[in-house]
Amino acid sequence: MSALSADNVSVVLGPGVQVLNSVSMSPAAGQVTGLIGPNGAGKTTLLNVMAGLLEPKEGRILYGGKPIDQISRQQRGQEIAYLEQDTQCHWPLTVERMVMLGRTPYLKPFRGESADDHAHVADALKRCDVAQFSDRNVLTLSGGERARAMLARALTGEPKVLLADEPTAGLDPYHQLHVMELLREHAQAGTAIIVVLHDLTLAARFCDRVCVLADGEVAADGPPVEVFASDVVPQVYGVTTSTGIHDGQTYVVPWRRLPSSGS
Amino acid sequence: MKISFALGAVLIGALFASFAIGPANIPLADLVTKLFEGGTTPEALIAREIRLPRALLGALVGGVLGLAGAALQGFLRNPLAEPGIIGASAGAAFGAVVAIYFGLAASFALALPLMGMAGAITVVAIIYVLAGRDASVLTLILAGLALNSFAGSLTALALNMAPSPRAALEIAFWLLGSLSDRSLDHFYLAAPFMALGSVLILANGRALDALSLGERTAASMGINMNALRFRVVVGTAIAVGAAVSVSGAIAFIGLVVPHLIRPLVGHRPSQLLIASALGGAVLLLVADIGVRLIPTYQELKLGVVTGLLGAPFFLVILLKAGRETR
Repeated sequence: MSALSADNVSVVLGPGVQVLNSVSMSPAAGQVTGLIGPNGAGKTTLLNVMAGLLEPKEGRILYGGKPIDQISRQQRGQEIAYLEQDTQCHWPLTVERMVMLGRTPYLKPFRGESADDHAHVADALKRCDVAQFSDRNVLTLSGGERARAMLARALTGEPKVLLADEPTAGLDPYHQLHVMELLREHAQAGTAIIVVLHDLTLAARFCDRVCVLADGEVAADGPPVEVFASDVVPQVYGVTTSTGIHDGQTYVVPWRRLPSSGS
Repeated sequence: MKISFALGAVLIGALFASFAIGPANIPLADLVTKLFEGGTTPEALIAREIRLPRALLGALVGGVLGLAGAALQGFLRNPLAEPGIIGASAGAAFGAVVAIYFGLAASFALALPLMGMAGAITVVAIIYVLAGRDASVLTLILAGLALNSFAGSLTALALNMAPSPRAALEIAFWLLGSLSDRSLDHFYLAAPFMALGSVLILANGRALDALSLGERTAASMGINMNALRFRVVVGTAIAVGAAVSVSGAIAFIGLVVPHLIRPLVGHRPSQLLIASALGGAVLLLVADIGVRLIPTYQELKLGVVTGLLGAPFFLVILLKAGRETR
């Protein structure tokens, strides 16, 4: 159990559009929890609710035993990092300046960054392997470089919880593996991580636990071996899968679309 | 930081230049001594009633326009934003035109700026009511745009229905924007509002930086988006509304100055605020000195000059920036 948990959360966006229906989830500290499910299953909404950015219609988000809206914005910002899907920087800042934005919840009004802030930024730049281009304009980075820079931004606040929405989207295999390794490394330091993934093999290999979301409900939640051994994944995705073991780790490859049932 | 000190030094120079330069050729030293001695000699009157208010208002109006432009561009993450976008300027202009139209300005000089500020505040209040408390940035802009053109149409209606050609001319001339014939009373009236609005805007440096990564990410880093929106929109309305109320509409300062300064501060929205305010003050003072120096049959209006110089200049910046980023 980590400090953050969703307790029977339901979200309705607009009339009659139920995005989440009584979802409970509690990422464990020191573990990577994979959040998978088809498009439109409510994964991003769940992350938004858990980050305290969206108010659930029913249920609640607890952090350290308290409802999240009773915790100051500043503390939330410091302890719960949210890595938005495909974050864009709107100005041509240097990589280092952009990563420094991750220290925002620690900065005091009208005062410059402290030596401590700079140390944290330097550390995050190094760990995410972006230190060598810290002076470059973020807008000129390649997809893989930008993904790691954005991850460095999220990690530079030393969060206790990291909510990462598809951090591997659009990356080549090398950089996908790199980002997943970085997440694992960070989890080992004690952070509770929820990561939204579409690559089933990455979910099977790098997550301690996998939660399957379908139509706004939790369809399965458990160790990857169990989840991928069941027929939940073929059911919710509507595809057959080919599963195997390589180097002692499970891989899951979607193979063929199942004939759609009716409609 | 360095750039702000440099601009501050230039601003002091521009203030003195604005104070020293005018049709009556009086040495600067004489003007300064007469200003402090007081009295009713022509030199003292020129220093106190003409030159001083003009220099002070030029710096303040330019500063407010530069600051509000920088804040709005950061807030909307759009380099094309300018203070007029939220409708406050159009509201202020309409309020002022009402004062001229009904002859209030003729009987009581400060009726014009007072009505202008009332117009600006009304527009922003309406935007807030229309857009609601949790309005998205897009809703705010669109509501601002709608009210902008509505206030503009009402101003056009006032011109259309002007009781006499003279009144129409007076309205049209006022709309062009100018700093001539303003008194210290204008300064005393508008300065507190410009200061209050500026303080509201300046409190957003950190939040505007965080907003570089989008609204959600900024919120996840502890930024209160509702408070940010309130401070930027209301601060701009108060400050720019007060500025337009005393000077009329002055084009392009709020758009061009942040563009000019941005590369000098590493494109950081927080660092841009003060630097852009100083830059705006300098640019407006220089333009206003230019207006006095260019010999024309009728004094050139300040808003005309800033527009004439600003638009081509802005095009050059855009083309240059486009080449760099593509």
